Amino acid sequence: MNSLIYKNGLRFLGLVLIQGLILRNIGVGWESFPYFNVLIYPLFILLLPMRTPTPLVIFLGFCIGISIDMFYNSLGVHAAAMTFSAFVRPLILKQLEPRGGYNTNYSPTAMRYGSTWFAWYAGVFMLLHCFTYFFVEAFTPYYMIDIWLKTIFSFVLSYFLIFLIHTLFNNAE
Amino acid sequence: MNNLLQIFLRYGGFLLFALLELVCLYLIVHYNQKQQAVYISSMNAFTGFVDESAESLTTHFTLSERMDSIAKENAELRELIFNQGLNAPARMDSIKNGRQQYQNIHAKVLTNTINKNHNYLKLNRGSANGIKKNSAVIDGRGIVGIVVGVAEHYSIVMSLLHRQTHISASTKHNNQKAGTLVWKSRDPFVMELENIPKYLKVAVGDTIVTSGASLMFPGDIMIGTVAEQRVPEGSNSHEIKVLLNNNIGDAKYVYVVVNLDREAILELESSK
Repeated sequence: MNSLIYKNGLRFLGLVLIQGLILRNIGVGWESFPYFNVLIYPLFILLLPMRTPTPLVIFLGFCIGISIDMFYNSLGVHAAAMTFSAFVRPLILKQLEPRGGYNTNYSPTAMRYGSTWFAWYAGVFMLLHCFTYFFVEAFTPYYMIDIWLKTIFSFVLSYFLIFLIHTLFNNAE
Repeated sequence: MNNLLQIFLRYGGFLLFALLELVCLYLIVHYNQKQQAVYISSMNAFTGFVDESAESLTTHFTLSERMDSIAKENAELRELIFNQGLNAPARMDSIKNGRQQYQNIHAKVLTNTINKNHNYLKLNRGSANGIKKNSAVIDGRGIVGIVVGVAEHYSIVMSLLHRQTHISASTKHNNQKAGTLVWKSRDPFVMELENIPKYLKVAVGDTIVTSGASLMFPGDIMIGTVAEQRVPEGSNSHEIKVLLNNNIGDAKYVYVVVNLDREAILELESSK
């Protein structure tokens, strides 16, 4: 139990620092092509243990969103998107439930349920998150084409990176 | 009570989600300029219609009063023209043919508050009528505020009665040295004029006018009169309380003064 908290806390910190200090520059600094925005911090919510109570997942989503916002200087934007994604995580998990059901003691990782399963899970989650993020960022449905373009470009990159990190640190929890 | 607890247990996730999203929305609108602009203009378009309908219902009750004030203003303007010897039609032509820097757009006030720290007015004219952001808003007796948000048919004005108001103003008899007009009290009739150096003579009853130093307000528009004046110990500037000439809370019709040269001047300044 304690090691779980420790591990997730470390993951929280690591992801916030990578996102806030390194990946932020990709989105902001590349003026000629502003559709890139690599988001990997949702990996934290993706990998929370299955038995984490929903309210706690939502609250942690809000926390990591706000932390990212501090770096991005956009108080509330990432938090709103992440809170929403954390809220729909149980619904996605329910849709993707394998035939044997989940073992609620584990985290939903590729090692437990297979790479294909995790690819679907992370794919749906990230697509939703990217869309919500850019929608909240634009704050109006008026620029829908731009929102979708940004969503798709960022989704491909973020998804690739998340999958890479997850495979690299191939970890059961 | 037991039921309430059960509802909370069952829908706790959703309730927390809704609560946190509201917090996020608040943060987004208050701390992000881009999203705030979108919020203001869409709220404008949405509530403007409702406000206008309500306004058109109540407008009849104060009609005679307003006609009176407009007639009075008209009379004062005519007086001004006569006194400057511009009463001949030929002279009027020469005014019209001159180069125009300021455009006046009249507008009706739809909503107006004076009892908050940050007060705003909403007008029934917008970009379709030529109103631009950062235009000045005046009424017949004084200045009212600055346009901060423009939708197609509505605009939002930051009232003078706003904690972030900074307007360049000076005394009428010595307008080389401009101070800053701010609102620190809660009194909708009293504002403070800061940074007027103490070697300038300022007396109670002096007229305060806009300095014309900013790109928003033309110079020499009446603001109010000095109600209280003192130089604090060890300070280099006067502490002046200004009694406003107009009643902002009562403003029904206002003029939006659009500075047509604003862009050109800003461009010139940024190119240096």
